Amino acid sequence: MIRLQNVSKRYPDSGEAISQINLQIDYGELLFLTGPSGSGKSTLLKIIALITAPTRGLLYFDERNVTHLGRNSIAQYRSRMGLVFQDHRLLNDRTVYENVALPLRINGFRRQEIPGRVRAALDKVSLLHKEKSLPMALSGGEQQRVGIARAIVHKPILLLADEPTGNLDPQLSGEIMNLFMQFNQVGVATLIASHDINLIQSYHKRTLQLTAGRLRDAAVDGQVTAVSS
Amino acid sequence: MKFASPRKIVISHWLYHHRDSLNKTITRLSHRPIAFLSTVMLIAVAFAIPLALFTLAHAIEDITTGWDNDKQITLFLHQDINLDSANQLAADLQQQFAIEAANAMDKDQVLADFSQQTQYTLMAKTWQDQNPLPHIIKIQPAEQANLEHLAGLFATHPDVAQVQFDWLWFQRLDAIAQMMTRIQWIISALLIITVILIIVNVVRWEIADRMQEIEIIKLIGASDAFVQRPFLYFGAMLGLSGACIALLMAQASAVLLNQAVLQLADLFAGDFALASFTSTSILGLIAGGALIGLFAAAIAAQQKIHTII
Ligand SMILES: Nc1ncnc2c1ncn2[C@@H]1O[C@H](COP(=O)(O)OP(=O)(O)OP(=O)(O)O)[C@@H](O)[C@H]1O
Ligand SMILES: [Mg+2]
Repeated sequence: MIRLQNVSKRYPDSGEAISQINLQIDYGELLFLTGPSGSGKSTLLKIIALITAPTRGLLYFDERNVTHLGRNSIAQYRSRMGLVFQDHRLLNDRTVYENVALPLRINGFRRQEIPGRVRAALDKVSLLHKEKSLPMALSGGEQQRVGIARAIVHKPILLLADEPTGNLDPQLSGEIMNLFMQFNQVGVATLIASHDINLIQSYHKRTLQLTAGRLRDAAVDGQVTAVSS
Repeated sequence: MKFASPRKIVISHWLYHHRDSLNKTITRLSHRPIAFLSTVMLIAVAFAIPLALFTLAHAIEDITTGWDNDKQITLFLHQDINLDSANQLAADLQQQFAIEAANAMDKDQVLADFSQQTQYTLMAKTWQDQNPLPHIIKIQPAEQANLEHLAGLFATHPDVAQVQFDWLWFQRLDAIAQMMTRIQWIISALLIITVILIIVNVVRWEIADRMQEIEIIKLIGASDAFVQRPFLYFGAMLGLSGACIALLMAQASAVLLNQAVLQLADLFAGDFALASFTSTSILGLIAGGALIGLFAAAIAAQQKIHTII
């Protein structure tokens, strides 16, 4: 589905954040992306979501080159994904319901379809009873679950999560991860960036290791099996 | 390159989403009524000034076209010319010159006409016993006649004491009216530019104020068009509300001024009132206001929204 070919990113006034990344993500796959702070995890996710353009290399979506899309095509491309952020990025002046409904409105869903889908998504993250609350009235873990509901409500084909458990205690982190596992089981490809190696290892999934912008693809048991060139 | 969206957008959805944006825009405005109202009043004043100028120019045009029909040359004859000679002279003039009609008028009739004009009634009364006016000849020149030339010719006639014609005065007034039209266009253009700049700035502030929100919405896949929509509504609403209030202002000042204008018109034999707006022009003005607002908001959105992410 997604393929990165020799992708590098250099920010102005700083060194190369990621270098020569080759990576393929298949439909329905779940993988982790780990590495120390500053190793380029966020940068890699941003490139896949076309939030930032790579300095070099190419990005393919279903074997179509999407590295340099026009603005409207970027919006269309991005609306096929679900993005989860460490800081939730909820709209604070709108209710939980409105936040979750947003991707549906953006994607032009029928008016009649919206309430059902929003409630189904909120139900999956066990927040149906909070639909009328404002985000500020929720705990960090609840806000993160709203963010996740918003990311999956329009049935994306790829879920990108950047440190989704970064601010949460271990028990909540486990709950959030379990949510991702559930969505993955119904076929949503998922890429989760996290530096919480213990948490990641307990799931035995494919894990990508970033070190200073270079990628190593680790096997499900955490052993390094390949080094990308 | 296309990425099939999960749902195709059809017209009814499109309408629904627009109504949705509109509702959101109105809700947001209702949260800050003072800020919104003061901007609208500013826009309204800027719209009302050209409106008032147009109404006034229209009224002046009405007067001058009314006068065009009674361009006249009046010949005051010497006191010793009797009515018969006056009639004879009128007939002669009509034969000799390119004029439509020449009619002698009895001095008593002249006095009677004179006393009809309210402001001269008293003076005319004192003259009743001994009419100091001469007989006159009223000349209706031909359509294209050069009035000054004609007047010059009449002045040389021995029976004519004085030639009076208002043509120069008409010309001056016409020139003033034309200048006013021009000034009014310039002022209108400047004020419309002002309105556009006001709305561009207000929408820019609004966008800056909601930068984070826009960024989030774009991150979850919103197109520029989707992000822009509420701001376009906002701009259109500013323009539309401004135009509505400007109309009310212009209408109110027309009512206040009408009395004065009617008096003025009385003095000038004109017969007019400040025109009130027809329903077509009202609709046109409101739609125009909304379009100007939309246009200004689009400029602001073009500049700002595209730079986000
Ligand atoms: N917008 C930016 N401008 C300049 N440099 C940047 C920018 N974003 C990231 N970087 C740099 O790129 C490198 C990788 O950053 P990135 O945020 O991708 O790391 P990360 O692995 O997500 O780190 P963390 O675990 O702390 O979130 C860092 O050295 C960082 O300083
Ligand atoms: Mg990061």
